[in-house]
Parts: sequence; structure tokens; C-alpha cells
Amino acid sequence: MKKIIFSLFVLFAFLGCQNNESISLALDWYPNSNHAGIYSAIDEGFFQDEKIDFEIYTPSDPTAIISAVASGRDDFGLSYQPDVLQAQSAGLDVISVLSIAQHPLNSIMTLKENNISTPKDLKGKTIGFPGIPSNKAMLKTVLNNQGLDISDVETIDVGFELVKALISGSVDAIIGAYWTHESIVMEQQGYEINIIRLEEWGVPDYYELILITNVTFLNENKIEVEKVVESITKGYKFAIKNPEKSISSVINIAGKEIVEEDVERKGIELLIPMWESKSIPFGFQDTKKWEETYNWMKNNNFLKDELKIEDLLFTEFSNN
Amino acid sequence: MISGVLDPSLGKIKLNGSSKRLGKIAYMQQKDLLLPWLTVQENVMLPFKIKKNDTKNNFKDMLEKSKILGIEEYLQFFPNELSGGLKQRVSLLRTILQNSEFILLDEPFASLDAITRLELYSWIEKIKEHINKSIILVTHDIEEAIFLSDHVIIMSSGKNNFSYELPITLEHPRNTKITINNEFFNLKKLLLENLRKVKSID
Amino acid sequence: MINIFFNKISKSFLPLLSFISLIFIWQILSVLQVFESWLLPSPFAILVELFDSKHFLFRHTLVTAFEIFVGLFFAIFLGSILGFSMTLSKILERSFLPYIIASQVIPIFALAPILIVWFGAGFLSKIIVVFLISFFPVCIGVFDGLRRSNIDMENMLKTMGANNYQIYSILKIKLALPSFFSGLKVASVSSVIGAVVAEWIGSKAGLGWIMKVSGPLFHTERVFASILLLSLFASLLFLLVKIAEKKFIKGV
Repeated sequence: MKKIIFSLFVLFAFLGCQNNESISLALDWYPNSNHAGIYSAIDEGFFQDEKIDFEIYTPSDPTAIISAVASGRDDFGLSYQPDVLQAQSAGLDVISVLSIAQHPLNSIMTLKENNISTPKDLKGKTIGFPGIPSNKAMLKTVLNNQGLDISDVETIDVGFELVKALISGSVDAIIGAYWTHESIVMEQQGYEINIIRLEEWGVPDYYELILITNVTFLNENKIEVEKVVESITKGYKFAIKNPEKSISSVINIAGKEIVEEDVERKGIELLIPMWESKSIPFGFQDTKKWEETYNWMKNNNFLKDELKIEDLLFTEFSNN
Repeated sequence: MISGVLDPSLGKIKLNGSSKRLGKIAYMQQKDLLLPWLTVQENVMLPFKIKKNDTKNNFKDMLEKSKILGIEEYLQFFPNELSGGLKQRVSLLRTILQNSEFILLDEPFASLDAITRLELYSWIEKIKEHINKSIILVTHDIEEAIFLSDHVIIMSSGKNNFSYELPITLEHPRNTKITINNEFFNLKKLLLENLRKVKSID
Repeated sequence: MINIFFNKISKSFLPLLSFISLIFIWQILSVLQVFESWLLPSPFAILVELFDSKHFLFRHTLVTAFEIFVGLFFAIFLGSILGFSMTLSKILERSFLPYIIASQVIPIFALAPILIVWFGAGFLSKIIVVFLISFFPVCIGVFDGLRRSNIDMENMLKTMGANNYQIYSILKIKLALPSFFSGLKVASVSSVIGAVVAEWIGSKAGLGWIMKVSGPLFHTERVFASILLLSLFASLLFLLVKIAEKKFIKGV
């Protein structure tokens, strides 16, 4: 009897301690080329140099990341600027500390044989999306741009299964698919697709991937946050210069079982100009871009409360 | 009520001057009430286990008596593997092993067929020599009463308050041959006559 | 004679034969590409996947198994205690029974997302889901089982001088066992479902996590391999319960 109680005690201590020592990051999606910099930061030892025990994982529910960070369950998260804005306006205490993908990667994809090339052609169709709310906002904008309304289409939450939903024909189109990833996946399976770029139809040039953290965590652990931001920045700079090695890091750490090597090696080439360009250094957070995105969402009634731009992002570590 | 499971609504029942009877009187019923998940041996040793004296001596005593009752070879069997007659013998053994002033048998053979009943009478005759206690047998079978007992008491309930006591002087050990001799017949006649006084049999 | 022989054979042989035929037909249809391999992979592909990714699958099986065992342990432990206490006092019974019934009526999988927000996507939330799902069958199994009385046997033990504790340990617990094991059988199967669905809703690892994340990568064989592993695990649990039942309920 005593043995049982003792082992229970140890068990609970173990369970409780799980999250205490290491810093956790919730990835926005299953590991792919968009995360290359983070995996390089781990593999090349940048976190180790800063003595940070970094833990990353893919949640089985992609819609839960922001709330996990807001509640303090996870210290950091990767997410998309429009979703973060929606969460912030709903009162969640998250803040952006680094930008990764500077431009939209999200797009609407259809099978070529369905002859859908502009948003107008989406009238009366079913569209699959991953359950992440910003997709609906962007869809609405794109439809309104061509005189349509969201009620002219039917949306279905398909979680991670965007590609399958499209290929199997259970939906006519998908949104939430990246033209740097899902397009490659489908081409590899032998499907020809049409891509509708969101920025071309009224969606502003928003940040596709940003690093967020909890406001309280930031205030209490400024040094830790600086180290994490620096390590990740180093990681991406390394990935930009060494894409091959970087993808190999993703495969080695995340496991070959869940990383599609061919797709990701192609994907990183498309992503590098999205991470850094001549005019925009990696990680830079442009307050004007945040204003633009904020205004777009506010004017379309996608946000609950008014927000002050200064509260949404923290640029001390990203804009050096 | 005698066993102490029930208490009288009026008046008192005392055993050796004390009303606390429960646990002091060995009681065997019509149902064998053997625990189906215990072996015969475990069932029979149960009274010792409960009173916390399952000692070597008591075990020896149990073995001896199980030999006499012819159930030694069945000690490792489970109750559902035994016939009705065997189960009642096991129940009987359990009852007589219990440390008690006297033994109360409550129509113990009523659910057995007539022939098995006769067998059980012989087993009772055999084991009786090895028990030093009084046995109270409750039965509605006249012949059974005569065959097994040294005294038969007829009691009626209610307002009549009738009772009749008849000593049985037949010799022990008794066997079924005596059930057809004259002495037995006369005893039966006496009992029937007295029964008629309280029950409407003719 | 032939009848008896045929009877024995048909009990084990026929189900096996029909199973093998089913697999065979499935394999043939897959080879003929009657359906897309990423919609329904062939049995052979699933088997290959089991061996190829065995370390990966094994790691995640351990995760799910851990969640199930810990959740079940607490469900059995606390469920039995509560079931037992409810038989002792009518006050306890009336106080707790409505909550216990409610715990079953509220769809656990509607609660699961909230639990995951509260307790994170790690082990704790899954253990809690498994616990909530398994608690009711065990608790009610114990409660009903203990109320099953055999007055004659109880009285018989009393005439032997047994006290209340002895009546419980010698008689009542044994009488309660069939009901307890029935509850346990239900709980063991539900626990597996609970763990998997909780993992779908929010997790970092486990067989349910694999099923969710493997889908988009066209690794449908892995999804099926996970399903196979889960069924095997659930059958194993059920078998363990049956073995325990046989051991504890002898001679009945």
C-alpha cells in the first residue's frame, strides 16, 4: 500500500514538473519548411549556447495555439497576424515579438479542372478551411471585392486535411493552403491546381507567420524572451544561407515520419524571399503594417474591441 | 428466532441466562447456503475462520468428521460440483463444527428427494456418536421425527398453546429396518393422534 | 462423431477463415486500384508501415497507453471507493448519485476542449478525460454489486458469529464482483476511445495525435496502422479484465 502511494506521489510530481523547466513553443502546423529556422536554431545549438531548454511540438488542434499561449500553458507560439489580432481584440494577453513570414502565404486553391480562377467563380461552391478563424475573414474580403458575400459560399472545417478534402472532391476549393506548401504537396501527387492569391483581391499584405508570447511572460522574463528571439533569428539567418542543411535538421529532429522531404526542400526555396528581402531584414516588425492589417479587420467587423497598436507588438528584440 | 437472527416482538428468549444468542447457536437450514466460490474445505472451516481459531487441532477435528460423513474425498471440490445430498452433508459438517451449546437443524432435508433423505438419516446416525451436543430438529415429517430423535415435541402456535411430548425409546444406532416394525408403528400412531388435536388431518 | 468434430472446428476455424478471406479480397481490390491508396490503403501497405515506423509508432503507443493506464487506475480506485461509500449512507448516495449520472450524460467530448485549455495539451488533460469516461461504469458497478444482497447467506454468517466487516469481506465483496467486472469491461473499452478522441482534440503525442497529423501527409497507412494498434490495445485490456475476472470469481 505504501509503495502505491509513494509511486503516485512521484507520478504527480513528474506530471506537474513537466512544463516547469523548459521553454515551450507551440508550432502552428505540423513541421514544415516554414519552421526551418527554428529547427536550425535547435540543431546548430543556438538555444544551447544561451542555455535555454527549448521544447517544440505540433498540437493536434491547430486552433488552440493562441489560447494556449494566452493562458500560459505554452510560453511561445507561432501563429498568423490576423488570428492574433482577433485574439487580442477578444482580450487575450498575447503579444508579437518577432515576424517570420513577412507576406501572405495563404491562398485559395482549386483543382484546375474546375476552372475556378477568380473569386467570382466561387459563387455557390463549398470551401474547406482549417477551422482557423482568420481564413473566414480573408474569404469574406476576397468575395466582397468581387461583389459577393460569404453567404454565397458554404464553408466546412476540415482541420489539417485541406489537401485530401480538395482532391477527394468533398470540397470545391480550399483556403488556408499555402502556395509554398500545399501546392507542392498536390503537384507531387499529380494534381494540377489553380491558385488565387489573397493579396491580389483586397487582403492587405499581412504577416503570415509571427512569434507570439504571453504578456506576463514577457514582462517577467525579458531576458529569456530576448534570448529566444535572438536564437530563432540566428536560426533563420542560418536557414536562409544553408537551406539544405536546415531542412535536414527539420527531418532529423521532427522525424522523417512526419516531414515530407521532397515537399519541404522545394518549399524552402519559395519561402526564403518571404523571410527576408533587400528592403526588409529578417524578423523586422513594421508598425505601419500592423496598422494596415488592424484597420482592414476593424473596417470589416472582424474585431471585437478597439486596440492600441503599441500594445500588439514588442519590437525591442526584433527590430535591431 | 432461536438462532438470534430475529428477535421476538414480545417477551424474551434466553440462552444460559443471556439474551445474546446470535453466533452461539449452530444453525442449519433447508438451503445448504454454501459459498459457491469457496471449496468444500474452505466452506467447512468458515466458522473457525470467523471466530479466528482455525488451528491445527480444529483442522484435524474437521478431517476426522469429514471422514465419518463420507465427504473427505470432496474437500477440494466446489459446491456446484456436488449433488444435493452431498451439499447438505457438507452443510451439516459445517454446522456441527461450530462451537456452540447445541445444534439447530431447521427442516434440513426438506429439499432432498425421498431416497437421498433416507441416506442422510444414516449419516446423521453415524455422526451423532461423535457429537456431544443436543440437537434440535425442526421437521414436519413424522417418520423423520421418530427416526432421528430421542424426544419428539409437538407444538402449536397461537391461542391453543398445545404441546405434547413423546419420548422415543428405540435403540441407537437406528437403521431403516426399524421403520416397519411395531414399536415404530405405535409411536407413529401416538403422534398422529396428538397432531389431529391441533391440525385438521383425519 | 463427425458432428462434434465439425462443431469444434467451426467455432475457431470459420471466423478465422472469414477474416482471412476478407483481408484477401481487400488486398486484391487494392492491387486492382479500385480505390485510391490514400483513401483506403491495402492490408499489405498497412503491415509494411507497422514495421517501417515501428519505433515511431511504439513511442506514441506508449504515450496513449500511459494516459489510459493512469486514468483507468484513478477511475477504478476512486470509483470503487465512492461506490462503496454510497452503499453505507443514504445521504452520500443521494448527494453523489446525480453528479455521477451527470458525468456520463454530459458529452465528455464537448468538455474535452475546455479541459485541454485548462490543463494543457499534455498528459494531464488526457488522463482526466479517460478518468471521467471510465469513472461511471466502475462506480455504478461497485454500487450495484454491493447492494446485491443474499439475506440468507448474510444471516447464516451472522449465526456463525461474523461481524459486519467479516460479512463484507467474506460475502458482500464476492457477490459484488460480477457487477464490478462488468463495469470494468465497459470502462476498459471506453478508456481507449476517450484517450484517442482527447488526443484528437488537443495533444502533442500519442496514437490519436498521429492519426490527426499523418492524414495531411497522405500517410493513410499510418492512420490505419494506428487504428490497428488501438484495437489490439483495447482487446488486450479487455482480455486482462477477463483473466482477472476468472481469477477472482472461482467456482461460479
